[in-house]
Amino acid sequence: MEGQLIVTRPDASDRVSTEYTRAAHAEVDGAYRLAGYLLGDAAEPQDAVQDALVKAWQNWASLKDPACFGPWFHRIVVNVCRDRMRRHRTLRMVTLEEAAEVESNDAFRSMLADDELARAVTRLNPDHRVVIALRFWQDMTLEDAAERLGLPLGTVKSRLHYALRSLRAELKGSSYEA
Amino acid sequence: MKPDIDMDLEQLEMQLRRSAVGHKPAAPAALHDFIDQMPSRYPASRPRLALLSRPAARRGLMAAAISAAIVAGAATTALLVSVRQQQAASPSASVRPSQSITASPLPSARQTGPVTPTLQVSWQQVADPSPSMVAKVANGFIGKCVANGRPAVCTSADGITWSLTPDPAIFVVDSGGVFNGWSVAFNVPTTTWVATGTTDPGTWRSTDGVHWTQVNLGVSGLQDAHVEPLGGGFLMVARAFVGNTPHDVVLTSGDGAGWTSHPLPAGVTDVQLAGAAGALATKPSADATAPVTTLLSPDGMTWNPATLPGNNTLVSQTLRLAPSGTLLGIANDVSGPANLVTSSDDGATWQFGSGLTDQIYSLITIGRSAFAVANVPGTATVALWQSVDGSDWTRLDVTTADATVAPVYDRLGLFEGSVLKAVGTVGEGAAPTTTPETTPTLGPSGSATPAPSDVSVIVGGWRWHKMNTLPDGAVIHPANGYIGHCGTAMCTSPNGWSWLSPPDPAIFSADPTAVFVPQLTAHRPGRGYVALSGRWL
Repeated sequence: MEGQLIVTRPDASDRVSTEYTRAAHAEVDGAYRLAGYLLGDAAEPQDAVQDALVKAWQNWASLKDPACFGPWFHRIVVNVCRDRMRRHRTLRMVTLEEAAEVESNDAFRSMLADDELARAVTRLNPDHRVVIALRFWQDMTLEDAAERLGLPLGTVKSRLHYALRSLRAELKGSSYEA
Repeated sequence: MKPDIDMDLEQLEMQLRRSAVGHKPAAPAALHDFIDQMPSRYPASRPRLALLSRPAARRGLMAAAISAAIVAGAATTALLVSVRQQQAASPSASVRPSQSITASPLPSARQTGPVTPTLQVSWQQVADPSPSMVAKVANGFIGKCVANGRPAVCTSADGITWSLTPDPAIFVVDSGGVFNGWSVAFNVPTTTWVATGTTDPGTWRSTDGVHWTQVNLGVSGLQDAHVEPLGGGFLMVARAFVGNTPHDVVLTSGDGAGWTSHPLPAGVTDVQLAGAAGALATKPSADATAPVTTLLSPDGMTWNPATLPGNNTLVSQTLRLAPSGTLLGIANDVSGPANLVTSSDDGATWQFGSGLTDQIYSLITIGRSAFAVANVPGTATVALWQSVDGSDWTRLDVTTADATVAPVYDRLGLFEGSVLKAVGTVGEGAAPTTTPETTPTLGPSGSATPAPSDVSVIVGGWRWHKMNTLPDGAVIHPANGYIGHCGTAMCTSPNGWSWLSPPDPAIFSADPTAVFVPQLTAHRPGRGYVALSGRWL
């Protein structure tokens, strides 16, 4: 039998896997869009959502109620994206030929290319960017955003207030054409 | 689409909603495939990450960035970059021995009159295991180190040499299981220490600064707790959950043993310790459109509105200068330069401070001196400033990129990330201790000095170089070196590990009107580089 590995999984494991995959499929589109809005292109959100999917799978046992997967998973996505925004790249290098292809096939990058306001959002600090994305681009209520972020409602309100004010100040002070 | 910059909030919200219209793609099929494959390939309890194979469709697109990603990827975790060792590799790693770095006052562009060398700081490098969360206790220091992958207490008699096995003359837990009280406060009048868990629950108390006993706060499920001395006792803020809903908790204690929880006024949130001024909180309006009210509490029980200048709404790291009693703090300005020093005599009305208007990251006091870690304008470099009155500031020659300075009792700690890397001792006019090996500095003219000496080790036939700073993202690798983005400024490196800002014109130069940080850059082999988009500064 050397070199062979026979894996048998108990039924409970299959059931858990099924629950997880069903829940993840239902949430992944929204999670991908949220990651795209936060990270600003189509490529990095794939990595971020994969990271979040793995974290969710590894911690599935800690989720007491599978019906709460959505908010719980979005919190993971937000945390992964926030980490990436804080430490991650603002520089990216592609060939000229590839650059044009990237722009045309990337919904998030084309959103930024078309809209100066969206570009201004990407210059906000990560916490502010998150609340803007949840509130206006994911169409969430403040209560839903608070649940997704695991924060008190008041904190989300104050962050949104600061974010909008920063955005206005950013637009007034901007003199760039990215 | 060009937004109307004078739009009101309602218009702004409407335009924000419009921004995403037509830009709501579904997740790629590769992500759905990934979900299906994962449970069978990766057992839920098994650590993974490095083993995952990711959808490869877009990888070819980024091929040109591979060399840059190697640099950034290595830097993300260890601040090291490697080059293949050309010479025969040594079988053992060689590291830089402990050394001293001396700081002395520099003339400042903001300082008028002659420079008076009133203060010098001698730095000594901290060898591994370098701790984070350093606290002074009676007979030495305790720190948060890592042992067997878990946070663990390490001790030091001098703050420089650390032991993973706690010295019983410095630290002993009499009761309370695994100690995780990384926020430590000492109350001088009662000679009592309190330590509380910043990540895991738990609070400990000591009356001799050596032996610690766990105390029951009477509030279950506290997380993210921090404590500071307050008058004759202690003030603690933490977060607790009621079901899945987090809420702020404020507790006070006279002796560190008995604690009282105090209710917050309706609508008050975001409570945090603010230093000498007590605790700070905010009270947003119901619909998030009216200004947020900032509240300060000198005792954790009474909350008073604080008036801050301009658009500042938060103040942190407040300290009280002796003997005047003036309060200094860092105010967070949301619409202009962030983190301005402000001052107040009563803790209610604050004004912009004078003398040092650079962006402030950290504000501390040692003895009768206040120290500020501030940004060097137009660079990614931070510098240490010193003042005895909060108005006249002298810049000390301790510039360092991507590092922070925090007090370690009567010393300064130089941290890279959260890890202590050097301890500075402050002396009045003390003579330099050794020939310094300094980090890169910017003189008054703003010109870059030579890169720092190389610090490297040889592991597995590769030489790994310690980076003096970590560029924010991927790095462009043109012919003469590397171009990165350090904080708010361009930076360049001839070798990938020694970074300087402003950029070396031999590596990057631009038209004087084109002061920007490139964010998307294209390279046509043999025909140069093109910045496709950038952030203007």
